Amino acid sequence: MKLYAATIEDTFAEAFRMWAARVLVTATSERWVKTAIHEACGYGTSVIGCDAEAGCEHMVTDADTPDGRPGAWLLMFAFKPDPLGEAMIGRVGQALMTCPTTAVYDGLPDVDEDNDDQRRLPLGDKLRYFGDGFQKSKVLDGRRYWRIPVMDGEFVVEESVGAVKAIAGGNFLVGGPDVATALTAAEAAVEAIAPLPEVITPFPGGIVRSGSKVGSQYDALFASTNDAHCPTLRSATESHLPDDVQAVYEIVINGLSESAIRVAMRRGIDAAAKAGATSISAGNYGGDLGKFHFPLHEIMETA
Amino acid sequence: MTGWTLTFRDDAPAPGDGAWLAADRLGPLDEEALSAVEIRAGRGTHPLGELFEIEGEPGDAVTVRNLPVLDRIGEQMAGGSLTIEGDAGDHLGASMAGGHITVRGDAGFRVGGPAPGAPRGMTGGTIAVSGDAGEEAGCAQRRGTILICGQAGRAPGYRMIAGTLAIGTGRPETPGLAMRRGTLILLDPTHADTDPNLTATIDSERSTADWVAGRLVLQELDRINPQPDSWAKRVARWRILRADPHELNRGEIWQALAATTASPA
Repeated sequence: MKLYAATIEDTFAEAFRMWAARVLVTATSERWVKTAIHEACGYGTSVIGCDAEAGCEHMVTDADTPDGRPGAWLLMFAFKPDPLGEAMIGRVGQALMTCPTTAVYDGLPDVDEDNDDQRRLPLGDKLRYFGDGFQKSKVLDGRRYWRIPVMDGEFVVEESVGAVKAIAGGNFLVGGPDVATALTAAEAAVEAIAPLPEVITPFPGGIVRSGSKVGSQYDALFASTNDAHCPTLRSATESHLPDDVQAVYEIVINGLSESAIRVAMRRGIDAAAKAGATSISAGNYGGDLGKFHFPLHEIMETA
Repeated sequence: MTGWTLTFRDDAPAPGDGAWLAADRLGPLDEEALSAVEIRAGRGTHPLGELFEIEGEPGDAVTVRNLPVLDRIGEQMAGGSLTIEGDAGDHLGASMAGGHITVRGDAGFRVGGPAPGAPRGMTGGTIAVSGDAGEEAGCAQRRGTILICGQAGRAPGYRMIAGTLAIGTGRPETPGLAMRRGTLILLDPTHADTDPNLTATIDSERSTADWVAGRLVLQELDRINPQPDSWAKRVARWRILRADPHELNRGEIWQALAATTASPA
């Protein structure tokens, strides 16, 4: 399949079940929303070594937030609800509560704990103790908000956040004849995905330069470099690189649903190809590891 | 929202009280069952259909017109939406647990307070009174939100336990007396610096622009009583007082200090 100058390999991305929680972060200005998100999502690329995979879903204006201030939706992913809850408490407590003027709201308020695929994770219910007994709560329209006294007034955080079964590891590989071309194409892909709902690209700038494979010759490591797509190992390993590809970047997409990830992959691949990519591929483990498969040709052929 | 409209018949005997009048108890009934609800009125009991004209269909909402002033309307109501087009008597929404009551007129003593014999007032839901209210609004209120758009009588928030009580107009006497926790909001800035409540101490001043809890509460007031000019836009600055230190010292009074440039309703 060809799209602009890019050859799209007939392969698929293999993704995994994870749990996701969502919060809405507001602050007094867009600058401080971005600062808050930047801190909260830091060191949140992969559960291989981080406590969660975190990213900004999209920014919103003051018309779309509970308190009428600028904000952003933030998604976090982990394999199980309890570690996800711990990661959420840690990141909100250390990166959002500490950030000037922020407030944090539940991004999945309709989560129903009678549904096995959904959970409520305590958030303000845990963080309130930072108030050292001076904290207050306010129940409005059935939702409890904790008001924790801090030096610029109060940090308002909702008592709990909803968590749902979600998907992590949707991906595609963007190849080009050199670093500049491949990177420009990858950047275009990330830019196309950024405004889409229910997905994040959790790696730095949305892009992975050190894609990995399962396993290693070293017993201590369970993941190692994706040597099949490393341009300097073309003759040293079983390379999957076309002859004209000298650099590859991976776009990893986590989302709340298969359909959200498929839309993001289609928009991202289209943008990358349009921006000069010569090769589009995807990462998988043979199809037996991950529950979710995203075939590239099928995705691109869907209207 | 679907529901029933009940119009009191001019020639019917007045009900003894309004404790039977709750949206969650009447709204879901079909017309036959609704018409058959027995109500104590005059010297005996009468089926509702004799006292009221009934229009509409089963649903979450009950609207009542031409009603005599009754006490205990919405007592222990737990859901749905009840609208009284007129005045309500004392004990409106006594010990209610959920739903929403709108009174397009005045209300009497102890709006949202305890039902007879109950230790606590309302534990959930919302009440909006477009006119004035009597004394001790929000008495022993445990949760929920009350908005009195007009003036309130003496001691609003008396023995308040938690929740939110907002007074739209004027400056009542002894607000927050014996308040344990909860939030009493005085939305009228014109009396902010007169007759200070001697039982309260000043904690801080905040501007609406940077006070999230204030913004959330004002939006809740707008939600339960939508008006062309929102409360969220009408108040620019607040004085936060800690109410009645003789109690838990955790109740708060929010006094509006300054109007915004937006025109008042």
